Amino acid sequence: MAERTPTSHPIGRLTLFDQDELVGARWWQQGVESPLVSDSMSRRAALTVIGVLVGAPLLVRVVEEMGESDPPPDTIQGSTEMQRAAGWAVGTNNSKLDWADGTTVDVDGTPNWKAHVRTLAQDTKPPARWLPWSVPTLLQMPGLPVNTTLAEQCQPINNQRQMELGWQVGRALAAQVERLGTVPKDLLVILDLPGPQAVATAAGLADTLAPVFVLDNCPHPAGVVPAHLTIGALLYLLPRFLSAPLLRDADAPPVLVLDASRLAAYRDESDRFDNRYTATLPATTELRERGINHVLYVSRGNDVQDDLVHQITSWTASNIDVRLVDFADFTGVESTIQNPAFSPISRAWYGGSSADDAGFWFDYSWYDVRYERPYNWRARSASFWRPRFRPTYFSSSFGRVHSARWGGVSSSGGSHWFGGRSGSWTRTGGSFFG
Amino acid sequence: MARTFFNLQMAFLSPPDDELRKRVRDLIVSSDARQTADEKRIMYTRLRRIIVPALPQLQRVAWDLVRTDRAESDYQEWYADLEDVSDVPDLSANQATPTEQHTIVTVILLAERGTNADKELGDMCDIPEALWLWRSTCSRLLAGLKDLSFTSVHGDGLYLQPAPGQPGPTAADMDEGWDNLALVNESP
Repeated sequence: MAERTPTSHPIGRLTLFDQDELVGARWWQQGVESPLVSDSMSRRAALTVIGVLVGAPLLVRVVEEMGESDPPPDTIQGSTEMQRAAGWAVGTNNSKLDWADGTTVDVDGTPNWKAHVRTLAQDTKPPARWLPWSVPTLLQMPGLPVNTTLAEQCQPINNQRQMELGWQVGRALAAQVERLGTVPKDLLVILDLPGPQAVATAAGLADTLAPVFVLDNCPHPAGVVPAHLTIGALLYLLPRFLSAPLLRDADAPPVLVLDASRLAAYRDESDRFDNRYTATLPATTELRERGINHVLYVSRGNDVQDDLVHQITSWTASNIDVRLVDFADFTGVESTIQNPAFSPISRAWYGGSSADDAGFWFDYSWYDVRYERPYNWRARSASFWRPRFRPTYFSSSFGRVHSARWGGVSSSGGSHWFGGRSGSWTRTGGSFFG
Repeated sequence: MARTFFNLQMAFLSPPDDELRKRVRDLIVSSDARQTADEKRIMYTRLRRIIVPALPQLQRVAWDLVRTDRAESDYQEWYADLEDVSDVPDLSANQATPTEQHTIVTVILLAERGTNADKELGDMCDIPEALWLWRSTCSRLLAGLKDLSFTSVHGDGLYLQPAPGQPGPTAADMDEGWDNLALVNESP
């Protein structure tokens, strides 16, 4: 569970009563800003369930603060809860997903994946030690009784180049860890890559590190995030995940698997469903309790994503060293065999060649290595990156108030303002014989 | 700084062992001490799920949106009254049958004026006077709460009186102690 701090959870309880006369609680939020709400903003819309409730076409409305950047996905917990309750395709009559690169067999060429569609979360459950860090919402969705139409159309995907590159980079990273002789127990790897590629990279690492999925959303036919493709990639590579626990150390360190598309660009398009999510990372104390001192953050960007800034800088403040690995620093080697039955990429190397590959632990110099630095080695620029706090939508210092509403229809133009007070009564009351 | 105060108080016919009381109590005590705006919305979504099935038991109601200079002081007055249990009479001698006893659920909320929450409260409470005391209006207000932009809400409170298993006030007690509550309209 993430640490509940005033910054991450700004609404704090002031009082709690649990006695015979009264059960009650009162909360207070510090630092509420007071931006004016523009009319244009009020007309922006949030997704509502009205469409599904009254049988009308999908009606998407998002009310959010206008800004230079995309609004944050602060409705996600609400949208996922809604999809759990009302079904994954809530709000639309179209329940068809686009399974680009779909296939009928898994990586071993078998249809065995069919038996696992509804049990993916259970089948990929991490070891008990890392279970508290797992957020398998996406993998649970096909198994919910309300989501049979999702389960029925789930299928493996193999978008060869991206997934194969991910698989090979995962293998290359695993080789780096194994090259140390003993798998370090104080290491945490975070994969923040587009869903299918993150899954493929995790599959490549799974024989060495224990995958822990942090996928807190649900597919939707009009979803901003193509979350179903992440399920498809997992179904394709499932044999690798199922066999991995037998191959790796029982106390193998974890690799957190995040979908980098979780904060995809979205600006209230009326025909899209906001199924984005924010990733929850373990609290500093949880890392400390499990002996984690070093974190490798693997991504295609040059910095951590906005929703992780607070937690990762908190780790750093507690002397947990976090370093960035640029996925692009692993260069895939094209296969010389031009046959669709064979992998298009034969393997990946850090630095682009087998000679440079040995430079990895010189760039990330946490552990003693028993080999020489590559000749003329120049450290990759990503290895110089260090976590630095920056204000984001997810940090209190950003001073932005955003809004999202579910199931409500905002009045256009804000014509329903009250000058004073309204309601059924105009007096104060509410106490026992007060 | 200008503020907006909203309150909703509902009295249900609800015996001491009623499921309504247990579920509201569980919601209150199990809610996290530190929450995000999303978690707050989830809390009120759950409250609505508890209350709506119990609306046939709703007997009296009061709700109010205050957008004057009194908003903040009204909010303070409400929570001070609610949380001061020193004047609560002993209802253990209550001779009323359990089915004649009431349970009171109260929500209070203080928002920043001119924000999204303020606007949404305004929209939510834009209800014709003829409908103010309908049960369905309570459902609408609760639906509005679960959709509220809690990023611009200063404070909120959720209260249940009395606790599960405790004798509740009768109609006569209600007339005296909760005379701000009006009988619901028997229309839908």
